[in-house]
Amino acid sequence: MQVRDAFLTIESTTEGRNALRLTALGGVVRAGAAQILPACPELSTVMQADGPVVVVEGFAGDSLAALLQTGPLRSAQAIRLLRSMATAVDELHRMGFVHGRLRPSSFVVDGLQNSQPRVRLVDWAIQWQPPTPGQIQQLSHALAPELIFGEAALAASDQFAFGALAHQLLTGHLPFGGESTSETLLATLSGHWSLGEAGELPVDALSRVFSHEPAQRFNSCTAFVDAMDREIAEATAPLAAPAAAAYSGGYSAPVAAPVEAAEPGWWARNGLLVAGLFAALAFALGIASWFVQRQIADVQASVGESMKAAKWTLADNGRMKVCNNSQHQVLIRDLAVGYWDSARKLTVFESSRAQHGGWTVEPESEQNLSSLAGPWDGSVVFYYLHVEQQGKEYLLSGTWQEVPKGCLAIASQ
Amino acid sequence: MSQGAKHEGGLSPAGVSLLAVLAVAAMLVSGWRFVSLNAKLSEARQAQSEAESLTSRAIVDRLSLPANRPLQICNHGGEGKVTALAAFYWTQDGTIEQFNSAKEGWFTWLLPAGKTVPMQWTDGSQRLWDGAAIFYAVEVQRGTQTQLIAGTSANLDGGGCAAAGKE
Repeated sequence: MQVRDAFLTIESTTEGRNALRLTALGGVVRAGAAQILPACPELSTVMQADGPVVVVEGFAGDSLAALLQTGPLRSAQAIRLLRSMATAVDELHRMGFVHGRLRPSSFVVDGLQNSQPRVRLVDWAIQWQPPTPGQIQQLSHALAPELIFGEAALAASDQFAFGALAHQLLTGHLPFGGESTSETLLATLSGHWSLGEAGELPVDALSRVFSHEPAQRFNSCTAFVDAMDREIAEATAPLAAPAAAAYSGGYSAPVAAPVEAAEPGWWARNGLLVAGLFAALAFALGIASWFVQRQIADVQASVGESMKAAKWTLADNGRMKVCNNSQHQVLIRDLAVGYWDSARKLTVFESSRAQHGGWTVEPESEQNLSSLAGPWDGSVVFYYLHVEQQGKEYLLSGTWQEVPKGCLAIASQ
Repeated sequence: MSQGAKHEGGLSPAGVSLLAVLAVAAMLVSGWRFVSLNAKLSEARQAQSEAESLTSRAIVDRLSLPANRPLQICNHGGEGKVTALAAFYWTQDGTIEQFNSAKEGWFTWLLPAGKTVPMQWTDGSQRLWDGAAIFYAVEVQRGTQTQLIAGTSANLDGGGCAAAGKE
């Protein structure tokens, strides 16, 4: 750390990390000349060194410059952070000071994930001095037009630089590009600022904060943040047309910011990933379905083979029943059946051998057959019937499992 | 300078949303098809289980049923003829077929006195039933008398002979 002239410069003790302590400044800042500024909680002490010096209370946090290296913030998070930053800058202005050199390293942030991050404004002087050529080169990306023209820094100049920081937080890129300092300054003077690649930008608010005329900018940085917040909130309607690639200063050509449904920033970053995941899931399910379909085909083939083999399953005895669906009497002259006996032996019953007189089946009737006085109870696996109907003879034979509905039609239709 | 409304991949948010909707739709269709096929597979496996059970029973039946034997009629009486015949037999592929003489125009076989006659049936040069039987029923007629002879190959007399003319 070093105190030089009217500037208090805070340098990181480790990369991207500040751990400032008053004691660390003890050798440089002269004690005994302290002036408390109770109206500004961000500032604790004003001391007189070689020139007026504001000493910032020691605290831990991350430099905004380091945070920006991780890419743009979600719009809601960026707005929360910008609101805290704006409070500090506005407080500085309220006390009658102008920073004049706002840049990412001017802010140290603690508790970025909180609803109200703690922000410390550092790196500013009580008495502003015009930037040197070297400082212009360093600050070219956020230098207000009036400062480029060598005019004195105003609160509106800080607001211009604050707008550049806001743009960078939302897009991850500087608003005024250029490969050289002169190109950057030219872009600033021409009013062409980049819309970046973020999902949405509060174009109207940024256009106003980047106005050439300081008087056309906002009354305060907080008002600028409010305007951005409103614009982003209003844009959370259905999808809007893509914004133009570049936007000229002034208010004449507002461009709708891209809007997405619930969480546009998140969706802009992860939408393709989500779509890809669902597509991958669909593909995986398709592959799995293909395997299942193959299994079904295999199983069905197996079933076909099994059913073919099982076609002649004769495990159970049927119960001999005949149906005469005709209008004429049918005489069963001879009958022979094969059936399983209790020892599961194929046994034969012959009607004539048992001296059975045969059966007469009346028209439109059904009849269970069994031997009147023999051992046959009507069980049947194989059957043989010699029947006579109206002088015509028929020979019926088959297996009982093929008899539909368990009743053998014995009459000619 | 790039388009602020463009996605990093070059697609607009609307394009990304459309892609996501299509991907979700594809996932839902694939999921539905997967579930349907799984249900179908479950049914097929159930049918397979039942078919295998039937197969097992068929195997048991096959073991229980007697084997094919050539059906011959031993005519112990006077001359007669077989007027009706039905025989069931195993085929080479393990199924059971039947021969019914009535379906072949009430084909008859002559039974000379005291002779053994093998039963078979040919249609021209093609032998359609070689006389194999596991269950048979035969009607033998002599004069006005008709005798029904039925049996299984297991109880055919030695040499595979169904006795006719014995009382």
